[in-house]
Amino acid sequence: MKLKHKIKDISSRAKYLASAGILSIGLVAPLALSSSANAATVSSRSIQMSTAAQGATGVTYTVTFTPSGTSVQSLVLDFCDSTSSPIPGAACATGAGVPDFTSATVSSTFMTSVTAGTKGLGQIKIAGTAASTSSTAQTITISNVTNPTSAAQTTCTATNGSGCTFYGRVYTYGNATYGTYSSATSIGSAVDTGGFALATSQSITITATVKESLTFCASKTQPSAGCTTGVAAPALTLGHGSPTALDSTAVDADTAYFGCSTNANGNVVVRIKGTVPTSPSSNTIPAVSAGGSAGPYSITAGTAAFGLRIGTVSGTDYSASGVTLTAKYNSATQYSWDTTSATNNTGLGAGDQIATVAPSSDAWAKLNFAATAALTTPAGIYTASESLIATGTF
Amino acid sequence: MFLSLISLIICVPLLKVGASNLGSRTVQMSTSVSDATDVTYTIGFTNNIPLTIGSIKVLFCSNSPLLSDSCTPPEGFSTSNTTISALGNQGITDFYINPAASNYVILSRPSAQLLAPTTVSIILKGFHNPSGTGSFYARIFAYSSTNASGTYLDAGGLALSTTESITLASTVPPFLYFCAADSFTGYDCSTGTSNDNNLGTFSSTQTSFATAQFIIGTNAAYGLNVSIEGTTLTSGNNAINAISTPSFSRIGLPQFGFNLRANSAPGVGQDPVGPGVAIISGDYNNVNLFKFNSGDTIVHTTGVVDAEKFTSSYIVNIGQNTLPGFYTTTLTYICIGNF
Repeated sequence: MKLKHKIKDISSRAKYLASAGILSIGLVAPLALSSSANAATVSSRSIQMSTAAQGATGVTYTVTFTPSGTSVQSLVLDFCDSTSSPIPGAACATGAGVPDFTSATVSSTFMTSVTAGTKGLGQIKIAGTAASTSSTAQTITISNVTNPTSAAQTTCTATNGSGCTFYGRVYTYGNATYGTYSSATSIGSAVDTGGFALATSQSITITATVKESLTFCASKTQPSAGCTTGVAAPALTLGHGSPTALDSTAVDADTAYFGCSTNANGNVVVRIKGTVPTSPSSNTIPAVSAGGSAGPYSITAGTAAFGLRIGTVSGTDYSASGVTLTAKYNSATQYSWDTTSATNNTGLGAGDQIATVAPSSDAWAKLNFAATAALTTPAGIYTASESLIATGTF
Repeated sequence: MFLSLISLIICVPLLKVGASNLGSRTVQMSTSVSDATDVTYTIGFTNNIPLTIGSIKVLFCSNSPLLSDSCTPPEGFSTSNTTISALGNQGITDFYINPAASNYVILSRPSAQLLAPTTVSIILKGFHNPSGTGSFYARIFAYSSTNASGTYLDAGGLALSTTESITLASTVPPFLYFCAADSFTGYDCSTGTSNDNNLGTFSSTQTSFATAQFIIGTNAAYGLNVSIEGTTLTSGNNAINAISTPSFSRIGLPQFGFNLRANSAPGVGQDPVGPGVAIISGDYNNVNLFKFNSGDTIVHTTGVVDAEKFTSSYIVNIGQNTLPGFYTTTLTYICIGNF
């Protein structure tokens, strides 16, 4: 009756451990089963697998138990498939449903100068030149083990590990030649014995697809990450006084922002293209320094000019991460508006590159547009329309 | 058990992300302004494996770049006027465009192998951008067939975005930059000195002279006119004759006049300086010839004029019979812009 109760306990724990095994670290609780006559039971037994994946190779089994204290010099670990049991000396089916120790190596705190003896499918024998007699927990680390495969575990049918159980048994002996052990069902005069339940499971594969994303906006105010809030129509006015006017006495400026969130692994190129301020009668405020491409250039009050700069202060003029400015727009005081290079601000090309954005959730930059009029700049209302173009490479 | 499964998800994240062999996928727009028409899209990609390509389909969607997702056409977007550029294409240069639907284009060619890696860049014109701002997506499919039929060889998605354009407005008011004083530094009216000129004590044996300056500038489309108003030098009822026609300075003969040139007899005055190109009226534009006639236009322009500084050179001669007295006059320069 007592034994039956313990077997129920085994079953319960096996289920629990089957679940835990999915964590890739097989952690198996001991089974309080006694062995054949005269042998003590090692306590606090466990076998921890570095991975519980079915068929995994190169697995490390960490066997931990507390011996009874009697001196031992060798031990045998037998593994039996899911049709068997963890009871030492009971019937043990091996085959492909048990781990393979053929290539295993061994280290141990239990024995010094430990060596692996017979190694094979479902079994490994270990002997040491000196034995510990302490009653404290000991560890044997067995590396390069091959886990059972699901196909080999005939009762293993589910992906959650149910039925993928197999069992381990440990026997210790007082001499270095495994006592009178001859097989899993004839273990001879063992000093200590103990049983374990283990389980493998299928690996859990999580598949996720990340969409290519590019969120980009132009705004009068600084937009939030992803341009979800803080976006205002980028309508700028250049001038001073009341009513606001552009004249030859000052360089007037106004600002807008671009915001960019992207996962483009080839970065996003931000370009700008548009017009210089132009009146209905087609008078213009010319690009600074005649639209030269080697800026930045200074704008002097009274010398009609129009240009753009971003600034030099990370975190103030542009986001602290993700944004790399093009040199001719990276100035605290000077401006550019390229009308001469192949990809300039105003032609039919792609526009002039002002920045690149690395994958970022919240990249932004503040665009400073500035202009001044000359004495000869014809009176009128001047307008310009600039298009910010973000091109991601995925 | 529940907790164990949660741990499972956290601890065993074997992440698998779909990969495309169409690398460096990009669509560069000539403008990202929403609802813009006649927009050029430059389609680019690099094939990482050799592909026998007979056609490329570029599908535009508002909802997702994922090939497995359904595709919702972007609102307002159209490829109905899309054409392929004859110049500038790279990698594959023999594509022609098949009739396009509203949200995709099919580029066809005789099926041929594209070695790997080849950077392909195709310029397509005539797109109508989506009417709204925000992200939209493109999916690029490569087929061996010439009409994008059958199973695609490879494909990949990418994201684009439309935005509002930045508008700039500024008002340039009518300018009339004008000031007069004894002298100025540069063309800065704020540096003007006194408006009083003391010619000292007149003599019948030598010419007295003095100078004043004025600065002009305007963006008046039809230019400006500067005229002078005032009287000749008077002392009570006595007056020194104004020079009514341009004349040389004649010592001993009562004269009052001025011009706007650098003179040598007497040595007074300065020619106009500055970037402006205003015209001095003929009677006041002769070296060593002087005149004064109230109401005369002395400078004019036919259009806008940048800053220009003029120097008025006054001369006074008296005769031996000129009555003594304290002779004065007030001259007013009047500048009128013609906007």
